[in-house]
Amino acid sequence: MSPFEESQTELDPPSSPVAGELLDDPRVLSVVEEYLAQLDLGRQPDRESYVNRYPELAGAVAQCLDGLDLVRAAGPRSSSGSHLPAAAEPPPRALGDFQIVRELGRGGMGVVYEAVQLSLGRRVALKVLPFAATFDSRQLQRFKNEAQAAALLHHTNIVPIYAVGCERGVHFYAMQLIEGHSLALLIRQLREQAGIDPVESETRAGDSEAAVSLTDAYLGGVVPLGPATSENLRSTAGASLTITARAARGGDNYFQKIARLILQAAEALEHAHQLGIVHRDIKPANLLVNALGTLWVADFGLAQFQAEASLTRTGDVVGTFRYMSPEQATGQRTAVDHRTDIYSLGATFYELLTLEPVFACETRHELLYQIVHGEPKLPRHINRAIPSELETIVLKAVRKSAAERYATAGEFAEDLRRYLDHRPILARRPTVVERVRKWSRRHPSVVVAGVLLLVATSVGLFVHSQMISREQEKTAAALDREKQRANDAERLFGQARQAVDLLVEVSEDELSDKFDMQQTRRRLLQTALGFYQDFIDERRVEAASQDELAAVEQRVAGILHELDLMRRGLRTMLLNNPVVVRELKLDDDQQQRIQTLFRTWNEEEKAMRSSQDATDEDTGRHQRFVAFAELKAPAIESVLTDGQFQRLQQLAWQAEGLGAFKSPEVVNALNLSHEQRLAIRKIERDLFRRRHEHDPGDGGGPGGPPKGRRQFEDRGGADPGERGDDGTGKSASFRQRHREAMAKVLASFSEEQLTRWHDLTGEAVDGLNELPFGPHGPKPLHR
Amino acid sequence: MPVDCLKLLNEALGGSDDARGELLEQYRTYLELLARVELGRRLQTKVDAADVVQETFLEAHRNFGLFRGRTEPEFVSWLREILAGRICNLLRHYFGTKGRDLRREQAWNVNIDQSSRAIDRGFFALQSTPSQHVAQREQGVLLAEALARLPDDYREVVVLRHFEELTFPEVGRRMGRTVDSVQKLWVRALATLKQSMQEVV
Repeated sequence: MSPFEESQTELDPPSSPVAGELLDDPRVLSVVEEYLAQLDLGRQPDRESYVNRYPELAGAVAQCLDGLDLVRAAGPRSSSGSHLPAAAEPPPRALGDFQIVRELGRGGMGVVYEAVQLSLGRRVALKVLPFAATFDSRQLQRFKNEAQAAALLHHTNIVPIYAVGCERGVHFYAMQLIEGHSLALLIRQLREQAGIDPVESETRAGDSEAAVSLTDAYLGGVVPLGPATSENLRSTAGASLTITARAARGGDNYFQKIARLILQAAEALEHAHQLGIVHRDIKPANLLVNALGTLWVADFGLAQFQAEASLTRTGDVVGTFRYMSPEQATGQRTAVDHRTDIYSLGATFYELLTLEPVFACETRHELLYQIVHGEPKLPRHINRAIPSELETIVLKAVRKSAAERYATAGEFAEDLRRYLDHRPILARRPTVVERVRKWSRRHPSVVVAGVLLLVATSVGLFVHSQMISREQEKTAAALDREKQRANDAERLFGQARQAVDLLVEVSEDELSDKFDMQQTRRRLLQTALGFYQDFIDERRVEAASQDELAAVEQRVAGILHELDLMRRGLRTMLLNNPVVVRELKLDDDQQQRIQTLFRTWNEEEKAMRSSQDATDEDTGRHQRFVAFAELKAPAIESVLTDGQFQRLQQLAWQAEGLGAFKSPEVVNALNLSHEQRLAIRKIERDLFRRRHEHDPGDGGGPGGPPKGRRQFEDRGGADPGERGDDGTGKSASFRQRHREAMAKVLASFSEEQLTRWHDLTGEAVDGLNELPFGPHGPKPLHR
Repeated sequence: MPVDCLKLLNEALGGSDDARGELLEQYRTYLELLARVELGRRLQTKVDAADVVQETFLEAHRNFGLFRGRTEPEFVSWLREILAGRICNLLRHYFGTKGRDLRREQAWNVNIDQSSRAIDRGFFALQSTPSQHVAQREQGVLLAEALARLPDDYREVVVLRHFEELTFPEVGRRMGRTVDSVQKLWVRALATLKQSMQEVV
């Protein structure tokens, strides 16, 4: 039926070129323009009569019309998607047994006419399928089979198909004429009444969508009952479906009516499903309501053909995508079964309840993404008046996983019936745990934060367990529970964030001045830093929390940098130890230079100290030590050869003793398991406990800032007073025990871990811990 | 013409740089027409579509490895995507759009699709002229070629009138001519088009 077919005879054989002066005849222009105007009006002008209007110009006109046909077909037919070839066809006057009366509507999926079936004298809706033209014979056969199977469906709530046929290459589908409206129109109408910005809703779905949904409303074979005004709608719906916007925002009546409509659709689906027929394109536009409030499901057996046909067109099917199930959205054809219809009916139900689509997205791409990955907003968050049973039902119908939805449309219907009869429904909401699990599947990095919560619990944060116990309080008001559920995901994030903040807080407030805890502190901070980075990745969208997170991240990174500097400083300080000097075989010149550098620092430090606020000596010392590490350590290190430097690093690890096993580098290098780390911690704890048993007076509370070098002693250093008793007494025996503890740890290592540890530390050296300086600075130089 | 594009495509896929360059060249006219219509509609002025197409070719050349298709239609639609991206960039630049406006980009993309569909469709008319080559060529590409063979002002009037959908007075203003002369051009252009199309095929 292409307009060009008729021109074929004219094109072939090509007419000979026409002289220019004939073309300049104004009559040629006027004929061609008139012809074009007819085409623009969607008519099919009789080409011959135009060509032959002025016989002497026939050649010129024919040639122009050839050209016009070429570009005309090419020109975008501006509006309303009418560029589809079929839509441009003139209405056929009759198709077989059917006499066309008038056009009811047209849209992306075809044109619907009101027609009279001549043999039976009844009025029918006749849908002409444009896409059939693009089918090959196999597809066409399949289409006929499906349509005929659908035609066998007999149910009060399914639009009966009277005939499927093909006349002169035009495929059509005759069905009962329903006097009423589609739910698409109803939703649109309600949205307008409710004052939901219609402009926004239209642009949201893409430019073409509004038009499509409007025309689609007629496409199911519904006779429009005049312009859709609220007045009109009310009268249409009659006594059984008086729906106004106010009712839609509240009032049980409204929700019961909605439930009754969806119930009918679910029953219709159940019937079809039992016969093995899946609709695949349930959407408001395919659900028709007549004046008595009876709902009819239209277009069974068409969906997949429409989908195939629409592959060649884009942009005009957004409206349908909206109700597509996740398995359809991901193109898992084989996974599409009757539960797809349950999802789509659920999505329709959702929109009727809330007057908002399940996912309001601007682009098809985004929409498909949301269908597969997003969670719908809780309906009661949109409108508190929605009964919670219906919320539960609708959410069960639109679950992502088909297995979690109602197993059958019958079960869906049963729950609606129970609701309408005021009996308890069968569907259960997902518990918090399920929701959290679902949520964490989508936010894997925050799952790690869940693990962290356990860490946090051990330092006294019980938020998590509190949350669970609260959920177990079945007595809690349903209202609270729902609110809580809605906020779970948000809160889990909040809690994880809180826990990590707490980590930072603990490491800074409690650990920053504990020298033996520096490795722990570093580990905590590094963990925290990782989480902050994850959080920032997760929360790309929220600028406010983003800035805040970035600020914290920066702070934590700053602290970590400082800690690294301190480690460097400590390593450099080892060069004051005669054991180390011997081990590194520093020559006289090197020793000289290093001592000079230390001495300069000493003087600078003194000057710094006098200029510093003397109120907080510990802080001051800390700052000075960091400054030392930053300013002097590089110079001192540069005196060493590469080999010496590497050995120094090895000795530094040795000097850290058990503490080394808490440092991230060592944990990673040795690939220490969680159990191993726990075991090491226990060994360490035992070591210190026994020390404190020996020396009860030495155990200062954790609150007080440590004075002097207690921490170093803890790791085997010597008290000034004990220095003379080297090899005897408590500290010597502590050193011994430390060695034993170390041996115990190493004994628990695998072969590989031992090798790596030896690579890290080199040959063991005794006496490293007898550092002649305190923990907070290069104090020994003052001596 | 006629060049065996499928053969070129296969050679290009096989790694031949020469084939790649020659292949892209086959679509220059077509892409320029698309770009010209899109930009013309948006910017209400004649823009040099050649630059956009050149950028498109550079990008296509660079990212040729990313093309996953095997057939000419796939290749053409891949090129159209790249072109659409380029045009969006350019429009963003023109309108000084802040950041990305996905909705607008979407709309732009759709239009590219529509234009190309429309131009492709124009070719269905041609299929009534039997030709072995036709089946192997992307149809819109040929219509573009045919238009390119028209004298400049002929082509201009057709593009403005039919693709940018201007009225004759508007076309006249754009081309700096009287309505009368524009209409005369139009008639001549139409009368010549079929001939030109037959040469291309």
